[in-house]
Amino acid sequence: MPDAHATTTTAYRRLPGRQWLRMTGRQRLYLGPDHILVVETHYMSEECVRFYFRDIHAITVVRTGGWAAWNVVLATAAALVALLALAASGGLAIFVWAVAGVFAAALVANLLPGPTCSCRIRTVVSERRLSAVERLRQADRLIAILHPLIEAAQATPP
Amino acid sequence: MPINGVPIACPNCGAALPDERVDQPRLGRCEICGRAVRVVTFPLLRVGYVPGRAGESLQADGEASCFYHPHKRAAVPCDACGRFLCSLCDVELGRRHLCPACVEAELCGPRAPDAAPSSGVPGRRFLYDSLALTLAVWPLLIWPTTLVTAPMAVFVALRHWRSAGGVIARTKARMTAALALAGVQLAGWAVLLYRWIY
Repeated sequence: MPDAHATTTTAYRRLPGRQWLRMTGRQRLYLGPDHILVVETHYMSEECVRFYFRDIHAITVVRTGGWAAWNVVLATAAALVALLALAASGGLAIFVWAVAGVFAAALVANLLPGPTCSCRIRTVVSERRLSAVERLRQADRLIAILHPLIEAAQATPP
Repeated sequence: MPINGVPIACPNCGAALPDERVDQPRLGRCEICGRAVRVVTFPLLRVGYVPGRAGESLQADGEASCFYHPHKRAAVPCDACGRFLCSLCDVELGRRHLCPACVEAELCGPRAPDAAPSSGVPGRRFLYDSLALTLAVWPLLIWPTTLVTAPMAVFVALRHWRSAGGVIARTKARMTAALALAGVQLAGWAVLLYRWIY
């Protein structure tokens, strides 16, 4: 017997943007035939909102300071722990070096994806933050994909 | 840049952006707040749309219309499915604005996929695979509770095995992991009880 909760049969393609799992949930973006699907997972429930190409006014991107701030915090922490490791000896030194390595790895993981941003999509009657798009590179890729589709949808009369 | 008399505002501070800051391929700095911003506009913005009130009729081609009444001007999006609604179709439940279909879905349960218009995506779904995995994992912190929660996890996983588990198709990995973990817990309890009795 077919299930009443069956997944939609619409073909969706994953759009750029991946948000780390947070206490507030996680957002993912998909490209449908004539709309963007925003899926927000709140642990045990899932909500979706569609933004039809024909209704989109604008996409805005603002560079935020999170990238630089985290770089400073992680670099400082890694440097301080490395200094402690230099002063330590024996098994303790190995442990402290490992902690410094964790901070260094986190620094690299934050550094490589590039600057952070806040991306919003505006329709005629609403505005929503695309929290899945956290990096400028992701926003550029997203706009490069969506721009021609939205222009084409709005160029043709409904 | 005023488009149809409406200036394009900086998304950070709200100040009007000059022409050269709009529709640029790269970030530009807002002269007021100094933040690097990029605004990409689309043809619809040039129509100069104003949200409708009390089921207003469309005034011009290209205006956003109500999903259910194509000749009425959209006033608000449905908070569940995102469809545009005119004031006649807007049902306010608490602080939420819902369309009649989503109100019906909330009152009567999720609709069948073929009953939903357009792309057939329902607004909200419960993820039974996450529930099963939660029942199998978290009670391990207070392990005696697994005597109750492990059978519950198995029941949820088997009962909802064929449920799609989300708007976008999800794998059965969570269900399988929940079943495996709960199975191990039940086997452990069986061994423990056997040794206790005999």
